[in-house]
Amino acid sequence: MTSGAQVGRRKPWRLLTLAVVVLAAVGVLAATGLQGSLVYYKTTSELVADPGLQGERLRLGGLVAPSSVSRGPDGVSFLITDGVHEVRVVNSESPRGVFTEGQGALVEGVYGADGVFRSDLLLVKHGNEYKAPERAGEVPTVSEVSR
Amino acid sequence: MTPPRRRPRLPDRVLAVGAALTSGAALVVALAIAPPDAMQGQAQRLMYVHVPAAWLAYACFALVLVASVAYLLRRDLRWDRRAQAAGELGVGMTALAIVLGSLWGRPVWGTWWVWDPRLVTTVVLLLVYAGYLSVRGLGDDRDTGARRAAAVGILGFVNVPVVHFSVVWWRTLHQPATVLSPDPAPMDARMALALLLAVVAFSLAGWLVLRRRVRALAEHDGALPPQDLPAGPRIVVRAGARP
Amino acid sequence: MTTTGQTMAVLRRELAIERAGREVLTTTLPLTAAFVVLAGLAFGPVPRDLASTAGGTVWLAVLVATVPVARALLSAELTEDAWDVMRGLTTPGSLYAGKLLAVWAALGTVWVLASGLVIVLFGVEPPAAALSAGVLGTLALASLTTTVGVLVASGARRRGLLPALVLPAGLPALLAGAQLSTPGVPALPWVVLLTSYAAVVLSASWAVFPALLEE
Repeated sequence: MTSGAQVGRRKPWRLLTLAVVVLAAVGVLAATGLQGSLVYYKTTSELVADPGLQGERLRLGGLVAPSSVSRGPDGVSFLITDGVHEVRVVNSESPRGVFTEGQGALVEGVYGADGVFRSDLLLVKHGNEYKAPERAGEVPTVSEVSR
Repeated sequence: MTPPRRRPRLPDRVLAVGAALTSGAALVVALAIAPPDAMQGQAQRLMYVHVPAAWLAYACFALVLVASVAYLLRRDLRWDRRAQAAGELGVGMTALAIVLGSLWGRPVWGTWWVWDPRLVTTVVLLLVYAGYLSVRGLGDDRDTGARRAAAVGILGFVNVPVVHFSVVWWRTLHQPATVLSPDPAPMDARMALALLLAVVAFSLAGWLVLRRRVRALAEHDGALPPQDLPAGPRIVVRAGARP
Repeated sequence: MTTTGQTMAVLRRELAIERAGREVLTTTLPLTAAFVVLAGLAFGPVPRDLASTAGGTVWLAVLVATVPVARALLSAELTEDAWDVMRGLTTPGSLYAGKLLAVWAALGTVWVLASGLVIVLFGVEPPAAALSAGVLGTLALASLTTTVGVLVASGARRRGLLPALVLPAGLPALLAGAQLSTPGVPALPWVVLLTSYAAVVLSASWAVFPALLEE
């Protein structure tokens, strides 16, 4: 039976080895994660370029094109763009959150053969910027946007 | 018999004053001076509490790891008390960060919860360290409990990076993930100031809480009935001695 | 006796106890079967829904099974005071390794049963990569279960703490196992993750268990 003192003397080596293993594991995982097979969401260009994605459930991210939002019987319709290609999106629910034109959005649904992306989940993808409103008093409230 | 109350020690008073001042300044800047975010509106002000709470939580868990390792190496109960105090504060701050994040997310993202790697990992952290706090009480005696807690503290912590990566890949390999990150990149200077003040305020207050908690735990530990002390010269513990 | 010899002796003892008492067989395997059947009822009856939940069901079953496995293989001795005898006869390393192998065998059996039932009841064909998950995932979970099991079982109270500690920490095995059992998912990253996870958990257990087995 090992005494406490003996174990204490041995312990640094075990814990050091553990630290090395953990650091190595993190390094390996980070490196593997940077490979191309990890895709956060499809951009409109990727969606348009790959016909195999039609009919698949996936996520599409991009900017909501200005002046493209309209509400109809099917739900909310707008254009989503990555600056190169645009895709029309029809979302079955009205948007929650601070959904605005010119800002980022993420939709989840199916890209149909007619070139329309029908989604049932719309999330606002706000950028990493935090800045003051352009004009004082011009602050979006939830009730305004989700009208 | 509890030791007589003494005036707070100097470092505690400095910390208390510092925490109070920075909290006040943070409140003023966060609520009055910093503008609301152009896109998120007033809800964005929750960031000034959510981010510092999360930061303090992670710092506490790192402290738990350091103290757990130190306890296993030195077998000094002081390290176990530090680990326990840090664990308690960390769990509280994690719960606060999660609730605030949820409240922030609902008006801005449109949902109370997303299966985002950061959120899931934070909830796992909460569960693991809540379990960690319970482990100490398992022991039949103080040292056994401390050993077990240290083991869980280490075991729990080393898992966190793997948990994080597994959730990241779960989102991205199976289905593309949302990239919803509350971390600021470019940020209005007034907002950055409010955030900085808030982080400092939380850190000072947290440090003060930890010091007082460790001292309270030490008093509790030290309050053993005399017959448990080893025969020989009585070891006199002065109230106010360093824990 | 060498460490390996002692380890094998501990393992043989575990297998002999199991043959005699059928503890794992009677407590864990019926639970696993019931779990999969109930999952089928909860997530079905649409075949597509069942197919998409197949991998997750298997690994959730394995995670849940860690609780009775730990009770059968780790707690029994402690209540009967045989634990101190064991510790006196073997080195801590071989005692731990032997118990780990026994728990691994138990969880492996659970995985085989759960996988078989899911294939039949959910009507899916898992990809070959599921096998690597079955081996690595059960090993990592076995290490976690053994360490936490010894920790919890050697205390006088709060036996119920085991699932609270094992399940959150077992999350990577659940995710990786479920993904590797799903067709169309790239396997290599998940195998890398499972290997890293197993390495981390085994190293952590190896680093802390001497402290747990102390007097």
